[in-house]
Amino acid sequence: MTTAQAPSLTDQQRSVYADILSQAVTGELIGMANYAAMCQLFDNPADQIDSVEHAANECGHAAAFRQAAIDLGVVAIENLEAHYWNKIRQAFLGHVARRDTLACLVVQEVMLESFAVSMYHAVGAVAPDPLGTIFREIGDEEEGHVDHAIEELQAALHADRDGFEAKVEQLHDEVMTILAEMVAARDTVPTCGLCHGECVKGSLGLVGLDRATLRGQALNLYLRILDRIGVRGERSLAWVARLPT
Amino acid sequence: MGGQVADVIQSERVGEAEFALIGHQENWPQIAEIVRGLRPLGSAELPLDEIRSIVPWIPPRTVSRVRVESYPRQREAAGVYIDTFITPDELASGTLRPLLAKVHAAADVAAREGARIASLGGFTSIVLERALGELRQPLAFTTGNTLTAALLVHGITAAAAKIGITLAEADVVIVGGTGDIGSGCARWLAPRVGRLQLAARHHGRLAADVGRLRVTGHNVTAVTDLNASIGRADVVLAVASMVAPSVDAGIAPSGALLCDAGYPKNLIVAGREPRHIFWGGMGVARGGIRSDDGMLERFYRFPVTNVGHGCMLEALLLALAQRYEPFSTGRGNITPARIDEIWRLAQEHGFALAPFFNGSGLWRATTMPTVAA
Repeated sequence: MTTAQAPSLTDQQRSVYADILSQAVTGELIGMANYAAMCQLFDNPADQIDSVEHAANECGHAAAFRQAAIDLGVVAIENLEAHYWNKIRQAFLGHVARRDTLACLVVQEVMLESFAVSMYHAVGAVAPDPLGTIFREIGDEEEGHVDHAIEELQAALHADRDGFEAKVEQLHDEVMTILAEMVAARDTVPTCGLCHGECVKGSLGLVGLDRATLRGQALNLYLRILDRIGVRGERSLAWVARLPT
Repeated sequence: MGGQVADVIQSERVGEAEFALIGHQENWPQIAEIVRGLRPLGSAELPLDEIRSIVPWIPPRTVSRVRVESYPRQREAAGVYIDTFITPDELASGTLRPLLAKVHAAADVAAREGARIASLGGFTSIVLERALGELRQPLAFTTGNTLTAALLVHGITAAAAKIGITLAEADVVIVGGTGDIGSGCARWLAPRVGRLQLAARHHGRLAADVGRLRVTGHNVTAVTDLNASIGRADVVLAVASMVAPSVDAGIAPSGALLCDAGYPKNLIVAGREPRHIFWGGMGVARGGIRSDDGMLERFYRFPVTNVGHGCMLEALLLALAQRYEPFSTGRGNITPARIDEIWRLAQEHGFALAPFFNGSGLWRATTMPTVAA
């Protein structure tokens, strides 16, 4: 996944991509740390290896985005203490501490990945190559993670539908609320800790993106993943209706 | 949203519904009210532009679990209401492909719910009427148009009698007269009214339909000037596919009967006393229709309970009758005999005309009309 020539972009567009790449690198590093933390939840070496491989995979994605930033001539901020990402990380670690593997799987594979996949595909559709290709390829790989997790989650739902849905609802309120705040029209904090200057949300139009569409695509994928798992539609609808906007 | 077809293959079956009602909402204020109702008490009010930016992204899904009973009680059937989340803006855009994708995704949800019969209400019936893309799901689909037509012709008959219009002498205009429902109503009404005038956008189809009805000796003509025809009409039935009301009903003579069965509505009635206007094609299930969570009632608000659009009620009726068949499909297949057949079935299971109402509420001093089969 090496990059070739830096695409021809204005300084303003480059600046937007710098902020997008900051989100992407940081998000992948959070994913890496989450998978690494999940390793301790498994007794089975095969599951431990799987978790470590996932972490390595996310690390590879972070490296690819980091390199893309260098090729673009910008700096991607890597800040694991960034407001929203740190809140997500703390929530995740809470579930690791409680040894709740199912919760970890739902947060990482359903919630975080649905946001990542939809965002990467959206950026991949507008960014000039080679940047666009990087986002598209990583988006496709992340989508594979989701497919893999769905089978496992379907089995959990089969075993106890009401209990499973109640758990996902609680996780939704905890984690999706943070992700929704991240893409909300109004920020709850002065800065997310990843933009170089002003909040990038207002400048997304410079590269052919817009906040509302990104949010819509992410919600659409999230709901479709829940549908595939078998969560009842009326339940997930009520959950998304109460997300912050 | 290209992965939606693949989704159903890998998706878990959710329920054991017997029927599915597939529909969409008519206007933004209605959608906004639903969204507000879904949010917890005390949440910040969502502005309409935010709602408009989110709702189109919601994938078609079950929003309510519904039960219906025959009257007198013979059977109960359970099912689901699936909203396609096709928005008024999407309808107005005229871009068919994404809308059809939503209808097909909704059909996938119906299959996943285990439904044996599904009705495609409002715009979604276009898939069956125009045979746009094969529905491959293992269940029967019906547009519900035959029961809608039955409710319309019996509704007009009952309302006309109530306000003193003699239908056999009346001048009746059907707006949308060549559509599936409009043409079905025309065939049934032609021998029963004084003069029938059909209005339609497709002139070729209009001439052909009028020609066929005239062959049987009925007084049927094509409308050439809609305003002039409405200005002389005793009865106007509006049943055209429109994205917003655009037929001026204010020019109808005082005392005329106006029946609007459009979805979205066809008639502009601002400034008029709505005494003789009713929303047609509505029926009531005397045995009761109820949703487990009150969501169906939130999505479809009517002045009285147990009321629904004919297109939706047809699937309920067919489920109660255990006739899992595509009763209404294609365009132009609604014959008087089929209308009479569904009407008999409706009466067997306690389905009847809804009390007459419009946007201002129930007709005053109206009781449930009784109409002979």
